[in-house]
Amino acid sequence: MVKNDKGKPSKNRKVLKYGLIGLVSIFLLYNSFYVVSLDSRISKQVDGEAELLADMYLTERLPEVLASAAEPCALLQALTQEDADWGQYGKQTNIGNRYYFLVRGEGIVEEINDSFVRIKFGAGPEACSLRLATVYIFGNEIRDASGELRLEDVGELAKFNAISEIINKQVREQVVPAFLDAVQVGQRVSVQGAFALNKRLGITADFEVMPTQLQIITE
Amino acid sequence: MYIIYRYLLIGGLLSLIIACGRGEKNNPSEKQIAIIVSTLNNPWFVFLAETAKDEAEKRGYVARIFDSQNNTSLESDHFENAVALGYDAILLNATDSDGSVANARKAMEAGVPVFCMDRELNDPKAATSQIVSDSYSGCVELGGLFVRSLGKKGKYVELLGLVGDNNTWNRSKGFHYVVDHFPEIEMVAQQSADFDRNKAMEVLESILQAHPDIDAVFCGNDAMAMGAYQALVAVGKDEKIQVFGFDGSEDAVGSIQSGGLSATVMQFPQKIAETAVAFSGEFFEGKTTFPQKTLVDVELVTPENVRIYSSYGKE
Repeated sequence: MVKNDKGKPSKNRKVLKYGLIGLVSIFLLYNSFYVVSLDSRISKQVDGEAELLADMYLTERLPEVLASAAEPCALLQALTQEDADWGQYGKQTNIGNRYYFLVRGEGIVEEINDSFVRIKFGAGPEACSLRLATVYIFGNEIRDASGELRLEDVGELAKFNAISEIINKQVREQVVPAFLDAVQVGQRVSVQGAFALNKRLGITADFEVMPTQLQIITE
Repeated sequence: MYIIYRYLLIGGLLSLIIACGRGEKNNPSEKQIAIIVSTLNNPWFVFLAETAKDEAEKRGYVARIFDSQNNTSLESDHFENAVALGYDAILLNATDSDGSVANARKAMEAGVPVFCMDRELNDPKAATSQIVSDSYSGCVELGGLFVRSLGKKGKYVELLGLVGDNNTWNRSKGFHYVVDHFPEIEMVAQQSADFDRNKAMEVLESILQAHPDIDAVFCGNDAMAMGAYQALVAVGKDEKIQVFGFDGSEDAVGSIQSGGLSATVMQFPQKIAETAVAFSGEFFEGKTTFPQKTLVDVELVTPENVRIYSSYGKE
């Protein structure tokens, strides 16, 4: 057998050489690709900062602004006036036609539907009724209607959207279920919430208020 | 003598060519804006770029459109050229939320402001300001309509846009944030079709072979929605399967009017372009601080309200 100067057979040396090249190639190839599943992009977890901001907003900043929120019928009446400046009554966060409003008031439960509860506020010719969302609680109404939490304060758009998700989740899990379990048509209820309207479309019949606080008034 | 005249003529012509080649700026005080757009293969981006150009010219600036053909390297060349040719501002519609960061930085480091239109960059410091559609919120609203249209029950396919673009994920996340709350609505396939009409048609054709019993298709833009709809027409399922898009393009709006697509989300490229040009103007006048991100509202377009909308949200 032919041996090299180190005493190793040349065939083994070749195997070693090509083996090493192979290993290096595999290593380089492996590190050339970065594979992530589509699902992982979708379910990217929000960071703790978003939760903190959402919690601070719901417990501190929003209640302060809600304390002076408009009564629903008076607000709707003001918005239907010709040439009404919606910016005077609500907040506009983006360039466009969407305005966000806060409301609070007491009313009577008129209807319990599978996706909303209709509440009648006021009496006589000034009465009005609103839909309270109980299933489709998705959106930015609660986050944006106070003007106390803005994209420029949060920085990242993804975090800003995550805050909206956290707020909605809390409302869906902590505000709505207890209310739905006990509510009955004819009961008097106290409502605090937010809604959005598009000025291009005006006040549509099917807009819904996202509740932040619901209470059945027992006398 | 003849030779001298000949050389003088050639020299004159060369000077003229060189003068023309120094860019469109004839008056030194005239500001130049480069509009670098991801692709001119999609009419939505053509509208965005041309609106920005028209708006810039209306304000007395010189503007030129550069087509990156969805290629980050080509986009990089455009940035280098724009900086070398002395453009005063760049309006960017990025090819990739991460991949375009380095390109935009080059201009920023050279002192040329970059205003992003519609597509986000993942590094806020890579642009002077970013003006983007509120895609997430639009798809939250679309998701609500989707669930109601399906009666909270059914199977669907999602066609995603370019995987490297944030809009793809903002739209998908907004949509899933709503739809995933309804356990009887099942996504049977999710695939990227790169915001491309032909690719969407091919992808859906192949998905339909494995899942012929779907009830709806959600597409990340209108080009893909139109491709998906075309695939459904070809197999005679266009009346059974609902298609939802995003953009508010001319053919999507027309399709909703004629009973084709079920809904789309209208973006307002005119507002995006006008704001980007207005910001450039403010920069030229000395303003240095701009909001990092400015969101532009989007609106849900359905057969019930389509009559009040024009394509691309033209106003």
